[in-house]
Amino acid sequence: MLAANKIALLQQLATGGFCSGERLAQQLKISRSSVWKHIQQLQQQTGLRIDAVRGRGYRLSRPLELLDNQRIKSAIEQSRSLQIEIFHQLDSTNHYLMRHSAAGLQNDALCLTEQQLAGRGRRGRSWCSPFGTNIYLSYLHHFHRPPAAMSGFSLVAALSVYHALETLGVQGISLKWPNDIMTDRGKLAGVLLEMTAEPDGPCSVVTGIGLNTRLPDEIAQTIDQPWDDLHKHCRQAAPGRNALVIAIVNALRDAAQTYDQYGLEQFRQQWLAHDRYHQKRVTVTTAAGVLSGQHSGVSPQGGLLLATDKGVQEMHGGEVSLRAAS
Amino acid sequence: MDIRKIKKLIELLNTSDVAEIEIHEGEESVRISRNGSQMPAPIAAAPAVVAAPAAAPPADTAKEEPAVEEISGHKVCSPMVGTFYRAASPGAKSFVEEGQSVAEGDTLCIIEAMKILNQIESDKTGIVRKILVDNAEPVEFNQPLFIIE
Repeated sequence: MLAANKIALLQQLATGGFCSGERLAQQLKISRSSVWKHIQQLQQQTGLRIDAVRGRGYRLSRPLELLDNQRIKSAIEQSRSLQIEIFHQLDSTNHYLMRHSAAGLQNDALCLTEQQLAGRGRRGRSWCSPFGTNIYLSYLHHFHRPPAAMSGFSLVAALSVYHALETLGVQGISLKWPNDIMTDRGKLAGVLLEMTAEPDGPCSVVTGIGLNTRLPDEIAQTIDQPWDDLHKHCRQAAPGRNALVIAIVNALRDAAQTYDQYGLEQFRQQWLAHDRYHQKRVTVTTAAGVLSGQHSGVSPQGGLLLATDKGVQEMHGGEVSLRAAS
Repeated sequence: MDIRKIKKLIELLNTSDVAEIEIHEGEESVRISRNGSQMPAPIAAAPAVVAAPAAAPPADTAKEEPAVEEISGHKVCSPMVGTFYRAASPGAKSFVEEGQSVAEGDTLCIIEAMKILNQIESDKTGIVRKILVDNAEPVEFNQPLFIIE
């Protein structure tokens, strides 16, 4: 947990430029040496870098846009059924909402955090989640469908992120089955869904979205696959974090409602229009082995249809990559 | 029914002290039972009879062997097509082991399809008698995963 005075300090620094130690001390009603001590602790606790320059004061080495509680809550249409929680630090937004769901929360809920201390990908992989940058968002929605009719929502969640980015003017992105958002350089955003369900429905589904807005190179070294962020991809035109959160949540909520009523069929053609490997020769790597063929669409359940020498196979898992020209 | 699945069932029967397994999958069903000896057969030598689809075991076997032990107990089946995982992540401790007692609501396994991880919870309090699928194996809709007694 970040203490309240460190958060106040951070909010001052986040306004940009240098803040003198004297001014910070006045605003926080603490001594200048306490300011120095808090700055050191803040760096330790968040991994942020803060420059200290004699005669000018303190400055964040990279500017950041903190999540704006009020702006997000007022922009996301606050129906009674959506609970919104925003944290500074959390183990994982998905984990938080799964615990909520297990405790019997009946409402839809949204969880955001500035930093994940144990951000997760699938099967124990980690998701790089430094403080004050990127988006770490989870959304809990209760569907009336049985679990067997939920797999297509994995694709729909990614499509929602795609549409949100498009609305904010981000171009040159595409989708990779089942739910990655890509640029030509690599993965820009990923989706991980976790669900608990009754065999015949309803299903409580937590949709977790990690979107890279700006990943410091020194932190990104731990990532084991090609990646990209909006700062690199859009330069100055990159949308802000709060605008991104609002656009993604609105798109995701609409999509969840439509999916619950109509299923994947409403989205299948849109998906294929943005799928970067549709009709291409690909390989799909699964635990059982590697399969090659032509990506010939997605099934009504959201499975990848792979046209192989032995006929069309429907895949429900695996890592898709472009097959090297032979 | 897939022949590989039937082979697996035979292996399962051979390595257990169960005399007969019967599985229903949609309209198909298969019953596999140990052949007629009155003695408790040595496990490795026990020949298995496959009858698919079979409504009843051969009549003579039934006569010679009046009390056939069946897997009773409650089946937990897969609610979706996907991949079966016994632990939250590779290397992590399995959610449950055979012989372990579980309470209703305890997580038994995860079924993954298209990066949706479905936590399968026990709908019954009891002992995990059998785990019917190996870790990271594909599973079909309604395929039995666990027997809980």
